[in-house]
Amino acid sequence: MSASPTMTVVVATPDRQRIIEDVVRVRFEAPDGHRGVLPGHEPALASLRSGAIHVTRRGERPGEELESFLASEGGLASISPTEVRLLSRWAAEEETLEALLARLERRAASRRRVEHEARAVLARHDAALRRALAALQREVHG
Amino acid sequence: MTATDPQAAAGQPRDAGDRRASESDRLLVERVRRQHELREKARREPVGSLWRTVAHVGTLGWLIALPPVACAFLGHLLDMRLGTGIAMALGLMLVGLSIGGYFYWRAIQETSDQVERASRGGQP
Repeated sequence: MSASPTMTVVVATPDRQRIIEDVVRVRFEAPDGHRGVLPGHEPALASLRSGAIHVTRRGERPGEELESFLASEGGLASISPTEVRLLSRWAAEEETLEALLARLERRAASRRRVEHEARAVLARHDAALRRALAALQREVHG
Repeated sequence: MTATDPQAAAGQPRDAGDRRASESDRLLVERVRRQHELREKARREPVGSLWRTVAHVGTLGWLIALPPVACAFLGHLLDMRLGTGIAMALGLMLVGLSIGGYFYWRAIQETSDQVERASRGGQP
């Protein structure tokens, strides 16, 4: 008995490319709702909405299916009968949704912290510049 | 950068890029969290509770039994008034069976849709 057909999922971001083989099902969110792709899908293009992408791939044992989840900040999905190419500005992969959610929360917290520190540094530099300008004006006008 | 930027002094985001990054982070986390919650809910409540199933089966029974009985009774009343023997009772009972069958079919369709949604983990 032949195995069910599979396809390849390629996740492409500006800094890396991840290839997932033996995929039997991909589910992602498009602006008009969730979309599922099976091997043999007609060629299509779809907008990829930010959220989790559910990838199911064939395991080593017969009938076994392994899941993984990708988080994407949105982009484009290019679908062909043997490949799904997901183009996104940023993506991350984890084995479970819980792990993915934890990773996203850590990332968001880290970015907020960096943003806060950058604003504080900018505010200090801005204040120093204003003081310097005020001193210069006093010197020019006596 | 200007020396008199009130936004910088107040510690507010410097430009729309900062606001967009925070907003996209928040949106992504919310969407993934929502998907996680839906999957967990579907895992905890695969089809429905036992009592809900019993109530549903009971409702299905009424859907099948009530229309033909009601129609047969109505037919019997008409037979008595019109003197047609049991013709009206039999005829309306058949109509009632059809009505009950239609309602039963609709209820099964709705249940089937619920089971399918639950098995997909709340996702289409």
